[in-house]
Amino acid sequence: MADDDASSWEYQKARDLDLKGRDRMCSELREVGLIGASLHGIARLLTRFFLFCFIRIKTEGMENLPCEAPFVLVANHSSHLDALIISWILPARFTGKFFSLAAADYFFDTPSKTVFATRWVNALPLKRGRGGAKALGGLKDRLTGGDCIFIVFPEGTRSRDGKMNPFKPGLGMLVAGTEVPVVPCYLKGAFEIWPADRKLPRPGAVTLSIGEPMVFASVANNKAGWLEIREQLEAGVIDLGQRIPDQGEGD
Amino acid sequence: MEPATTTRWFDYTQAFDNRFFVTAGLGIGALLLIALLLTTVLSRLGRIGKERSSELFSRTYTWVALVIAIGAPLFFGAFWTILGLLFLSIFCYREFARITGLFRNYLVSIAVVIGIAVVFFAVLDHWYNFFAATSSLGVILIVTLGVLSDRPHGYLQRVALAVLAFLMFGVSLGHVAYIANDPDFRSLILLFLIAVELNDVFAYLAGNLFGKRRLAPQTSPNKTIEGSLGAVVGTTLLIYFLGGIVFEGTAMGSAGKLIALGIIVSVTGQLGDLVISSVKRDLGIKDTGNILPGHGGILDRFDSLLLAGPAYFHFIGYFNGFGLNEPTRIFRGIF
Repeated sequence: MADDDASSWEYQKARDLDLKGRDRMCSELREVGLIGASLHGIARLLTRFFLFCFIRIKTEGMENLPCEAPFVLVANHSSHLDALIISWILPARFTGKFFSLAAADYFFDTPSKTVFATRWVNALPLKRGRGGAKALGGLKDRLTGGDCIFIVFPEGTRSRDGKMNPFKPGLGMLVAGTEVPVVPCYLKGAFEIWPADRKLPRPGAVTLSIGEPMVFASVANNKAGWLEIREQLEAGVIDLGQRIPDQGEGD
Repeated sequence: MEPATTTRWFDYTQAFDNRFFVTAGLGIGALLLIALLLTTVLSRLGRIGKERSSELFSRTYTWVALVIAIGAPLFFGAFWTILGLLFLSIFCYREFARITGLFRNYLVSIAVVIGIAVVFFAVLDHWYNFFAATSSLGVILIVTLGVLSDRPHGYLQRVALAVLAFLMFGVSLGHVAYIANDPDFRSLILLFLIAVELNDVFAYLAGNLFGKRRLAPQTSPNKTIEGSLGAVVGTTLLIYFLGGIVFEGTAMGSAGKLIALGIIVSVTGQLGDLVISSVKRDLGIKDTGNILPGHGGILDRFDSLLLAGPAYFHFIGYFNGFGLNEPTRIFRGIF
């Protein structure tokens, strides 16, 4: 925003103005106002309290977190708690602004899951599989045009054995050629707390390491560029994971 | 809390003693029933197309829902009436914020909501001096809280929009709510709502029958001068007759004052409509929302109340006053 246009008024109506009910909740255009942010704030407090009871969280590299939206947090994905833990450590001033990108076919397939995903986790639906570029267009528009924060798990699904899976290149479509910083994160210990084959989590300790932001403004927005971004991010996240010292698990 | 207040706030049996409220309520119910029957019969006979009939049905059902949503709080007492208008005010703000983009600024939105809450506290407390002060205090609150985010870029825009919204929805609808401090609030508010809503209907009918010259083609191309004049005549007659019942035996009960009130309500009602039309034109949108099937947004439906509310309130207030013998500063008793 240049200073010389300081006097001009710009209106940007809600992107989801024409949608309502479940259509609105299932749309990647859903925007959060004061009511939604308050509900999400309460949900976040309750989650914090709940997690506080049986999980200890250690963070490293908090200073790497950008002060202002927009940015993207990229992390490995090993349990259902991942998004909740990352949203726990984000400052309260970002409430209502950060969204977890969640699989549309899993989190938005029934009305009850949809309400949980939108109201509790503040998730936006991400259509998995082919034909992604079109579906990601709305998300990219939001990221570059508004002040929002995305939490993304580029593995595409939870790890079944605790080891990180290769990243999918879709994320590159969101950030290639933009000034939006991408922050790699590594979550260690979440898999032991709630592996994919367990119904309920168990107590434990988690370390969240936040790396330095990367910007892909000079990377071309094409397949080669997306693959390049994937390589860089995957390497960044793996590197973070290796730097976390091992600690006694489950004590 | 004094018994008079408890009665006014919560005693719904009083509604049955109110001849105007009962008669008008039954009348509106009958009207909606006839509308439903007529739509059903016409669509069964195939006299209206499928699309048209489903639109008519959704419109009528929405009216039924609206009448219940407005009638129930009025029936159950002044407390619920004020609470209902508070929600209406906040929902109007929500729509305004979503069409202007103001909703993205939480700090200013919080300021507006607090401002509206303070207005309605003054209303509920029956504390007129404070109520009169809330409009300026609310503006100060918005202007001040808007500074705290330390983002001068766009400050003037968001603060100006927020002040406009606060005055249009909080203070304006607060005036309507303040009428609930009168023991006869059911008739007074119902008369107002009937007059304002039928004002739109009269304008539509008269416009369809005689409409030739357009009133404000840039703002609202469907409105005509003939429709507008027809609404003034219709609403004035309506208030003359219905107001004659409501204001019987009071200072407002004379023909001259009732005619003046009718003209005031009709003109300010239409101006309120034009205000929201201008907002929509400026933003390039058709409807302010989609919460009411067949009507659009809440703001589309209740736009005529925004200017007519304070006008109706002050005109009657000058001659009759509201709740002059009712206990004031109600919450004082609690502390």
